[in-house]
Amino acid sequence: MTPRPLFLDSIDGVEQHVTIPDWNQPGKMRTVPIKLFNNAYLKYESVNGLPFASWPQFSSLPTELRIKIWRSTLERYRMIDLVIYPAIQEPEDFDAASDTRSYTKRNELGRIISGDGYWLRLGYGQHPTVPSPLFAVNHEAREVALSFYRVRLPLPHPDGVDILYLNPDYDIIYLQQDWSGPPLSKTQHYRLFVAFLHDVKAYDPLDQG
Amino acid sequence: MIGLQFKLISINSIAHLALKEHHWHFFPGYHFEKDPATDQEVPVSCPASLTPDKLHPIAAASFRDILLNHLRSLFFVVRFYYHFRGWTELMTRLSPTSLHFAHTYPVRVVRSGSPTGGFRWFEADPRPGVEHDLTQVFFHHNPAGYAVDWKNIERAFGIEERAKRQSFDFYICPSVDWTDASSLRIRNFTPGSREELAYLLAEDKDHWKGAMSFWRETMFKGVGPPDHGCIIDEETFARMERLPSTAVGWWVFRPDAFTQPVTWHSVAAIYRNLSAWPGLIMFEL
Repeated sequence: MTPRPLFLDSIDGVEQHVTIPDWNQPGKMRTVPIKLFNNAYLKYESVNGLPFASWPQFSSLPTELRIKIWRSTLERYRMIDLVIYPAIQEPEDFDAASDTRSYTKRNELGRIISGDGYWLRLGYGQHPTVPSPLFAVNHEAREVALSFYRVRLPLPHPDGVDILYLNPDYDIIYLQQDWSGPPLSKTQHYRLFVAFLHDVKAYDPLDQG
Repeated sequence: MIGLQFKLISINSIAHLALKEHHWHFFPGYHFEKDPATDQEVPVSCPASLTPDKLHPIAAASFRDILLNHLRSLFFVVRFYYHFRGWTELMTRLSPTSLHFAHTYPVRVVRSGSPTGGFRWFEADPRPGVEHDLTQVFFHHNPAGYAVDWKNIERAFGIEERAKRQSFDFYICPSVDWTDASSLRIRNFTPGSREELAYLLAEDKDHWKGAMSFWRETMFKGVGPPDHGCIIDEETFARMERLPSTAVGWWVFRPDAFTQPVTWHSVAAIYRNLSAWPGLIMFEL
């Protein structure tokens, strides 16, 4: 299938100029252009999208309609970068079948969780624990956002626990390993991966499993 | 309508997952064994190494349930063979007529511009010039092998066939990986900043220009190849330079895009004239 190509060169303001060090002349700077399809397409979308930057009459709309509009702003795909790494180093002779420590605790939904075997951190610059500006608009918008992001996944880390708000219909979890720590055995590597997936399932209130 | 978008279908919990090549041991990919009949090295899929006996019994049962009833899509993120869009070194070893700067190969960078990780998903990459860049695609491994690895894991957990309602899609997502550009960290760019991206894009272009000049002077004794490479003409190259043809994102293929005969070089899996058109996941920046 060959799609009809999009020509976005007529969109103004796509090219951006950024000043960076000139590696051919140490100590000097040079200005280089950035011209990305990402920016061109998003600009194209905004040109062809809603024309209103603000609309004071919004609060006069029926509640049901306002809630639909709030929700429509949330229905967007997200790629959530998560980095997983072990909280403990398992001994070489660790036997998963006779493990009595893991999979014994329950969460607030009454589901069994994997235990304390891993830590999680977000990828650089991502802050999905505050997943949408709607959390800070008003009470109604916040309620819609809380209802939409129904999975509240704990992100345990050495200094505590954060909460990641997820909607499995729209969110893709991009799970990566932190290779900077001590090397893992293959079996601990497998167990971290499966423990994480198990816990995402355990924190979904709609899961019947 | 610009490129239909896939619909992510979900029941609950972990429905959509993306994993990175080389990060997970249970994706061994193909290894090579000598075929006694032909005496040639041929790619062979490895047996699953992630098996129920390596897990706590609750974890094993849960993982089987996730595979069977929850997981709806797996995006497997792979790297192109080379760190630049103009792969002059390998191309020249293969054939001087392969020299090409692939403007539309998506690039992968640290993303920090969109704090929530928003993206658009085009069923078909709508950028002009994709067709030129599909004429030759290089990887370290045959990407289709990873789908076979995943199937082997499913079999190890007793999943042979799925009911029709239990849909599952495995996607291969290639990109030029600039997420771990260690030289940038030394230069103190903020990861994901515009300055870092500008540096990478400029380095990409400079590498192409420098490499073309080098090959012209050493390999070709001052005769060709031209600055626009050997796959597209000068006018098309200039047009690609003028258009916003660079995308930060991933291409999206089905594994069967790579089942056509593959040329195995000593280090690379090489595909010529891919017939499948890629989708595009394009990140908000």
